[in-house]
Amino acid sequence: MDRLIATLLRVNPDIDYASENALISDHVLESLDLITLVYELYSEYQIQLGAEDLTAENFDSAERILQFIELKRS
Amino acid sequence: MTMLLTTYLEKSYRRVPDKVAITDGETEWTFARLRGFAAAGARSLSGFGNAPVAVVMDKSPLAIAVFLAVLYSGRAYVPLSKDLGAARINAVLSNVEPTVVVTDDAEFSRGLTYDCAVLEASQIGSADAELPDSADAEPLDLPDTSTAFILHTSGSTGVPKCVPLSHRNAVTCVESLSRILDASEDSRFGVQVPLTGVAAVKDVYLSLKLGATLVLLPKTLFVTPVKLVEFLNAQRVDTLMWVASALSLVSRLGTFGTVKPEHLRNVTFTGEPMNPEQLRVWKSALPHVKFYNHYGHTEVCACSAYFAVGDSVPDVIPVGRHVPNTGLMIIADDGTEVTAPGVEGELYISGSRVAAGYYNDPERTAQSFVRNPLHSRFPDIVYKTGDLAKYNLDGDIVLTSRRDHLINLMGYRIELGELELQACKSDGVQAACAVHDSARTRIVLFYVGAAEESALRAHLKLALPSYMLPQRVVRLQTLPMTVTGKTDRMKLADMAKEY
Repeated sequence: MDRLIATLLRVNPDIDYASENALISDHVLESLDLITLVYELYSEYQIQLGAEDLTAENFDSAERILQFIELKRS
Repeated sequence: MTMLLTTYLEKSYRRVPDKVAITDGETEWTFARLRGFAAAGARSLSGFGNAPVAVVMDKSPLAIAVFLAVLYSGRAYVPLSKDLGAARINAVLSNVEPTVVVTDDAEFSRGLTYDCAVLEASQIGSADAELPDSADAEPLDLPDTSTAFILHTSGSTGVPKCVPLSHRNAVTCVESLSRILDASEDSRFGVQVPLTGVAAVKDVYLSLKLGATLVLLPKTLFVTPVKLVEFLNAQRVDTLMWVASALSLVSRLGTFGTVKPEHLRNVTFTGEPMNPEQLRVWKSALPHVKFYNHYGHTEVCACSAYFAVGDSVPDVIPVGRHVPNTGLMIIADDGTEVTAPGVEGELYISGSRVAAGYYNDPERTAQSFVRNPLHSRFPDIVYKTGDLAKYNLDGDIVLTSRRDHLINLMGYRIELGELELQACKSDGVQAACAVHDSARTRIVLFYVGAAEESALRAHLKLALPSYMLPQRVVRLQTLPMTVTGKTDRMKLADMAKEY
């Protein structure tokens, strides 16, 4: 989880990822963040994100993102 | 007859009163309702003198209705939005000195340090669709050189530049656009750009002229591109005039593998160079759509040149040729006009779209609104863009670089110098240099000094609008220098890729 939080802080350092659980639903992440997010997740975890992956279900919290990464890599 | 922006609404109202003029997917405003609100709103603004009217509102149909109410009152509007941050809004207000702010967030607007009357947007005209339709609009008796709106752009000295644009400037923009775009009363425009910027003039007033429909796209949809395209389809959007990075965002994420826009006919991109690779993705997904590059500045009321993209996408997409009723010239360093291909010079723009100057700023006005360099027989004012350009072998204009460090990010014009200046005002920052990492659509700020990154970020956050904030802040021991002793921006741009 620490590795993911460090990656997410590179996307937007002003977000408290440990407690935030509506990153997409409450529009905490903005469209510019998104481009960085796709890039950072690719460089850190070598996963390719598609538009269909960018849903609240997959990205609303750090925990969900971690589950999503594991699913993508398995 | 004098052509004013209000004429567009008057004519469309008479032709198609019950047609939807604006929707955001939730509310719908017909031309009759829009005109009714504008006429009633104009009356409630009559007690505030002739000063400009600031409008601090989120992107919404109501915001456009308020703009029109201000125009119907014969005044100029100053569009602002909360996400610019209080510091920027106060700076613009202190410069423009409005006597009233119309807002959808009275609490926020009353909290501003600039002091003037605050009116709730919903109260200036009736939001009730039934009542105002019967209200008469008094015909405006104004010259077309009257200011219609005042837009702000980033300025390298740290003070935002404000550009007053007249009805004539805006009508020239709309009329030229209507001749180069395949749009009609049946068109539905998907509005991505912020209403505070010049690009929105194209969407809003072309649509009003045609009696077409504006579909305002919520910013939040751009985080979920599949939903965005589904929304475009549900709304049968056929024309997009977006900033290049917003188009790239959709294609880069592979959205078209899941869903494609079904009704599109025209796509224009503006604000920054379009990535040719991403344009190819758009073109191959939508082979029947026409794609155009639009080149423009706030100072000349948006698009002054355009390029229709042919079957193959060139690696450098030209800005193309002048739009109707607009002049372009490339001037070499020796002051002569460039006509041969391949020779670089600075691009100048002429015509009735050129603004009269910057607001309250004779110095910067004199630098950018200059006499036509090709003759000195009478004052013939043209806009000096700061863009370096040349003709290619096809006779199209291609941009080569900028004289300064102006960039566009998601439709916002940013002077990197302004960001650097603010960074240097932060305690413990000795030097700073910001670079645009266009491949990743972000700004990286490098700095030297004892300041902690978090303290610098906190300072910038207070001082600048959120769209100007760097995505990465990196502390260095020293900034790399060129042999001539200047900060080596090329090297830093290269280094930015590593962070």
